[in-house]
Amino acid sequence: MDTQREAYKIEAYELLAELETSLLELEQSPDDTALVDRVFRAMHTIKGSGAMFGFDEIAAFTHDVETVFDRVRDGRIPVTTHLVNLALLARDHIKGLLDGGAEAEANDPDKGAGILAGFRALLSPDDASMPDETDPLSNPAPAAPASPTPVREQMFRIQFTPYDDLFRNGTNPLALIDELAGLGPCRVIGYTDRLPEPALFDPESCYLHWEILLTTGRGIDAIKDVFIFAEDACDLAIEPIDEPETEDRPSPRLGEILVARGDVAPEAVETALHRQKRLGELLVESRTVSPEQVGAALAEQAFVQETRQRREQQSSSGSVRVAAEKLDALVNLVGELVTVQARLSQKATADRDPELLAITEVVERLTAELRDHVLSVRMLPIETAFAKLRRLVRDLSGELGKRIQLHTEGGETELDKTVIEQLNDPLVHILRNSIDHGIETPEKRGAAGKSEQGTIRIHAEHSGANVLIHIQDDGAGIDPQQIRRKAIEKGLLSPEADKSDKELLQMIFLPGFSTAGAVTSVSGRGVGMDVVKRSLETLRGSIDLTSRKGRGTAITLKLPLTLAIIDGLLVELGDEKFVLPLAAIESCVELTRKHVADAHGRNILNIRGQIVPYLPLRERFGIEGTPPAIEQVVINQLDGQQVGIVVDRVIGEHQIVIKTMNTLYKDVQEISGATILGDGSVALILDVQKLLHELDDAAVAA
Amino acid sequence: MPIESRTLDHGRTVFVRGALSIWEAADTWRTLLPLLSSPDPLTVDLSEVESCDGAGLQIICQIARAAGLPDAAITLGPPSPSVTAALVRAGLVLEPFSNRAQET
Repeated sequence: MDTQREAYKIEAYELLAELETSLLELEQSPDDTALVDRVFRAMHTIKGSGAMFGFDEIAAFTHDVETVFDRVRDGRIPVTTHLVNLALLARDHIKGLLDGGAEAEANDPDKGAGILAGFRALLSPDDASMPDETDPLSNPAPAAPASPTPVREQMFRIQFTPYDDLFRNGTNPLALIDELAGLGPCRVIGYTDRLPEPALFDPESCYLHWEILLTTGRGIDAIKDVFIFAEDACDLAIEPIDEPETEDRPSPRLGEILVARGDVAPEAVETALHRQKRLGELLVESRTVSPEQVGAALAEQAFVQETRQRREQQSSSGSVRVAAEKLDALVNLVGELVTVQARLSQKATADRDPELLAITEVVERLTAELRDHVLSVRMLPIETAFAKLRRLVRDLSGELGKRIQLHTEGGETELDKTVIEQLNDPLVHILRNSIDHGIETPEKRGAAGKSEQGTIRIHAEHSGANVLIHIQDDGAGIDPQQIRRKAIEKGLLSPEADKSDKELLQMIFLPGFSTAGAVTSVSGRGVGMDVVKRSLETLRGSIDLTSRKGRGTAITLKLPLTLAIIDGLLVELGDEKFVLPLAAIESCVELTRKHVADAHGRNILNIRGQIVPYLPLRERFGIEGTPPAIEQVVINQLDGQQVGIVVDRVIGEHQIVIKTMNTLYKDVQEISGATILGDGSVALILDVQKLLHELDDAAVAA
Repeated sequence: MPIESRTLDHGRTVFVRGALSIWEAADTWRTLLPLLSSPDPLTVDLSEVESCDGAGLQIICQIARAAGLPDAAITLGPPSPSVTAALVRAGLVLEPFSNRAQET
């Protein structure tokens, strides 16, 4: 049961995420009935499965919310911002209950009651006094249980032809159709051909009849159960129309469907096919079938195709749920394998055994393939991070009385799961800044000749081994002179200092720097962009900012695709080996004693006319011994500038499996991790950004 | 009162209000039938229908059918959200409504 409860929780979290997205879309498109259905279905499943697996608090709470959305489906309650607000609060409350269990509810019993009171106020007195037939605690809703076992879906054609006394028996055919819709995706085709002339029409007799195409994993018995109280008042034919095992066949053609439905003889189809017009037109012209029959057959054809496409998507998007910890363990094992493979390569090269070398090459190729596949399994679309931002923009802009639209592009761009998880806070920080300080109030925007609604665009794209995320707003922008004043005020800049606008903008990344005029609950506490920058550097990423006063701000985040295995350059200093991440390296040049003498003691180098500062690592780490006569300078690109790191020797490129360091080393800023080399020795991975910042700071001080 | 018939400048208008279900079907149809059969211009306003079941849908189908006849002088006003939702649930596509959807 515990496993099932866990499965329910996982599914409920997914449903809540989907619910949030649907509600935000619904607010933009209140007339979209498909969105209302999606919200209703999510609530229905959360409630039904919740009751089934003992989450009684959740089931009871969701019941009233679901009732309101049922009325919305009927068109009795309109979709308003108030309703969406309430539904979002309800969603948060359900999430709280899932996170903290019943104790959370006990801690804050009024919160849920307050939300429910809001929903009940939307119901009319008739609704409120309705008998509670669907009490989730006594009668769980017929929602699909959160079973971890996948069920086999099947398509059915249901021909439902009520007798004329169906209404008088107290049966509402729409309720039966709704129940069918609860079993799975369906297409309903209503027929009016039995309606008599007005003079002969008895309004209490049923003339309508239906054909319903349904895909469900609940089996034919579940469909029969829907009609259990109406079977004496209708003709009912339920036929499976598409077996899963026949899916490699092409979709049935129109003629095949009409013949299978008994609407037309095979010979009539053959005769029609010999002529040149479209089959449907020909059969209608020859009065073999009615236009309605052709329409229904075409609808069936489309439904079969759609269902197959959906199944294909489901199977290709992976139907196996694997715990994140298992994936992490797999990545670790692959890391070990890469290390062992490096040792094997080293041994084979040293022994010069042709047979061993041949085997090593194969192992090397297979390890690389395995590594790529395992890493790709951990990749998630960045949309998962974007989805949370939509709610943030909506809630914050409402709170601040601003009108802001969020556009996202490139949500399908994939990044390592760990990177996405750690990216969330920096993104939230940037957006909060943009909403609070960037985008102006509608009045100010109007006065500045801008549209009253501000826009924030987020665009993600691949760029080599990195992902770039551009965040752009059309707000007030940042005034470099205001930064200058603030920096002088805080003692971060001397009044005489000559700084370009670009350099001044970079100062907002300094710790404790904030240009906010007022501290608000949203941002402006002076713990902003420096934290963002530090978080990104922890991810081995970087941040770039440009801004134009009155026009807006653009921020670009550069992130590595993965944090587990990187390409690195192995270098040597005395007996010690270090790794420099390859992503930022531009080139390597030699440093002779003559170069050092020519620079008159300053750590600079002239590379093709460019003056490049460098950091002698031997000196920095206090490594004893004499450096070689010709040292190597590894040139890195940092914030658009070239800077060098001097090492004794460059060994070469290596696949580096990153191992985190013991907490003992947490204060050693310049080291971001360690790796095990082929010979079993350990090499420290240098954090080039931090190392070179020191160089920058030293240069500024000088 | 679920159904009200008024003569306005451009002819007679019938307002159908509240529930349109099996309980109101007979009365509603009794009022509508002579009007639908008459050659005089008629507008049927369904914008205030609050709920609609299968029987209600049949009446709406009859009105739509009458409005679709070649010489008909019957106009259907915009349907209420309840009517639209019921038509969608029942998989019914009625010509006067679908034309209006295309126009907008």
